[in-house]
Amino acid sequence: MTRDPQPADEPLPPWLRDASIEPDDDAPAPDAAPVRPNSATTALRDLIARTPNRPAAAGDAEVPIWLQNLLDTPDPAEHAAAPPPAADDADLATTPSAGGDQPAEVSAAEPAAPGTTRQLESRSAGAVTDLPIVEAGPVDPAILASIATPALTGGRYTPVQIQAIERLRAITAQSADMSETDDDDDVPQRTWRITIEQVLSVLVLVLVIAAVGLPMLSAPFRHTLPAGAASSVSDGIAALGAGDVVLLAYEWDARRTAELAPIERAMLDQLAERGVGLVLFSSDPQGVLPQFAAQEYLAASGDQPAPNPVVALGYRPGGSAALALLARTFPQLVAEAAPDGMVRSGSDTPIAALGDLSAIIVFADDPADVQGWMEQVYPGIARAATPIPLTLVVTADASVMAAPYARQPGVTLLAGPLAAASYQAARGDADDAQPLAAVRLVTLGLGVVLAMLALTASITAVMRRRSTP
Amino acid sequence: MSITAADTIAVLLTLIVLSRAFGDNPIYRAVQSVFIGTSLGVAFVITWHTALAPAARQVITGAPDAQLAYAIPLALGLLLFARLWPGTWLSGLANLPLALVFGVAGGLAVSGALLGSLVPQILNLTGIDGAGAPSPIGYIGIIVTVLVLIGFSASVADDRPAGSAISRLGAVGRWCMVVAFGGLFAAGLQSYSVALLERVRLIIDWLTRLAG
Repeated sequence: MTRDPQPADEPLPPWLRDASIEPDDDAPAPDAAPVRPNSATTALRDLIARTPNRPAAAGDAEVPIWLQNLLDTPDPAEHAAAPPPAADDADLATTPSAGGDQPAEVSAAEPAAPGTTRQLESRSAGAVTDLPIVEAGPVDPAILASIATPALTGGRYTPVQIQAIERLRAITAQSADMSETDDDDDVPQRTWRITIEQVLSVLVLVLVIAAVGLPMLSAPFRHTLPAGAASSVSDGIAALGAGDVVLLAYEWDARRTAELAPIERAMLDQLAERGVGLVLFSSDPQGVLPQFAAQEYLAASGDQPAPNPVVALGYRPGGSAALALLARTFPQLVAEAAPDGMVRSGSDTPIAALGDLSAIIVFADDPADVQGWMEQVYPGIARAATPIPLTLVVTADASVMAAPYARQPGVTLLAGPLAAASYQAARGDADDAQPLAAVRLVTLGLGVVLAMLALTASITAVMRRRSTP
Repeated sequence: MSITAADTIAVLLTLIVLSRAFGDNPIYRAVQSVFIGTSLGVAFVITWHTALAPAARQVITGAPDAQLAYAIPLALGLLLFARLWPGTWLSGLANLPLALVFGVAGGLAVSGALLGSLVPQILNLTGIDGAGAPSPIGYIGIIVTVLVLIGFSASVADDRPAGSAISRLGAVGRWCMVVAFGGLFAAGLQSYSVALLERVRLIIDWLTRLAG
């Protein structure tokens, strides 16, 4: 919105308000060529000049100030017809601030009078910078209507004036249309679009619910669980006794409870049955939560035949550095955590080195955790006089990166829900294959959904390519 | 078996998280913020109680040798705050603990990768270590490793015969990476299927108990 050059409380003078002008006989016809470029100032001059009862001088008291200023400015036609400026001012007259590349109307409003050019420059810059900053907003329809129908009723106008009025009306009408369109855009769309992703998500959800609630659906995916590594680990734990100590590393967080908790609980049960001493450790701060849960679980199962001592080393910061420190200073760490020396090796002497352990079991959900244990701890225990078995219990997504380490001597890898089911089956737990069958069914369903998504995307891409010329 | 408040809260939070399948919504975002905040809060509390507080206790009330052992890391840690005055000579003091951290981490990573991963795996795959017989899969693994490494070569002149051959080998290595990423993605799919099943099983159990 811009400020109206004519103040609202300063109406037109009576001699101009009642002007009734005959068509200008001297004005060229619209189709007469060429027409000299005319300006609003020139048109107003013509209008006033042909007014019958106009004042004698522009300085008359009935002439408003805005009109006096307008009349004081020289006519661009006269300015164009004036002789060229003096050589001293020639360069200044062609500067942009002097109106060199501005329209004729603007150039006429700021005449480049000799000797005052620099003053005009500063005034011109000041006029621009002093303009009030008004934020754009919706246009009031009443204002648009008043602009579209200017108060020039009852008169006759030159073709240029008529052309200007028509153009002004077209601009205001277009602006009004755009304003209405913007208002329509502001209205929130209430239509609900169902995307293919949402449909497929619902399908997956229905499939998961069916796999859990209807076991007969996943029955075809029940297979005989392989014994393999899980069975050997179970046999190894079964061979331990009350004098043995096992280190359990909790390198997983609560998000992987569904995948790692079943096999962890099965191992804890077996270790508790054998009365094995346990040392709990974590180099992942989130791993402390399942470590606490394991302590509570072991405390709750206090009716075991031989209650086993448990020492929690807690969280050790530093990642690989913490593991390297553990490999070097394990006895000191245990002594700090259990000052009464409750953790003892098979010969009933305090643990003096990592090699005194009977086994190490690492629960991990990140390949980097497995890598850290294999790089910082495993070389030390592999060089021990009696190699310590190291069992890596990892999630399915970490198993791909952890698989090469399983070829090292003394290392066993148990990965994913299959390993958990196999371990539970090796211990003789009933109906352990049902969750695994459900996992297989859901995984197959997710694979089908992903294939459908890929197919849909491919068809869409081909159709778009064909429609593009 | 009765329904506890914790079970009900767990079911509600699970349902809100699963509502993300129907589109983003403010309740899901709020629960997401709760989970992230809880995770960070737990990490801070654990770090404070298991690492920072015992160290501070040793510095204040420990034996002289323990005070010395913990005072040196504390002083190095305090030097990190010199970064608060950038552009001054104080800021340079922070380089000392940073150099120590990066140096130790780099040394552990390089030596660990060489002695704990690369060399043992190559020796094992080729059967040189005597732990197992060499298998064709082991040699294939070594060849694939070399191809993948070639795939990362960015400055090869294709207009020469040798450069063209290296580029083709690199393309094979990149396809091997694609296959490996596919395997990783499939394994991740299985992991998240297990998590989703466990959550849905929790909801069904809760509903079953609610129905009595």
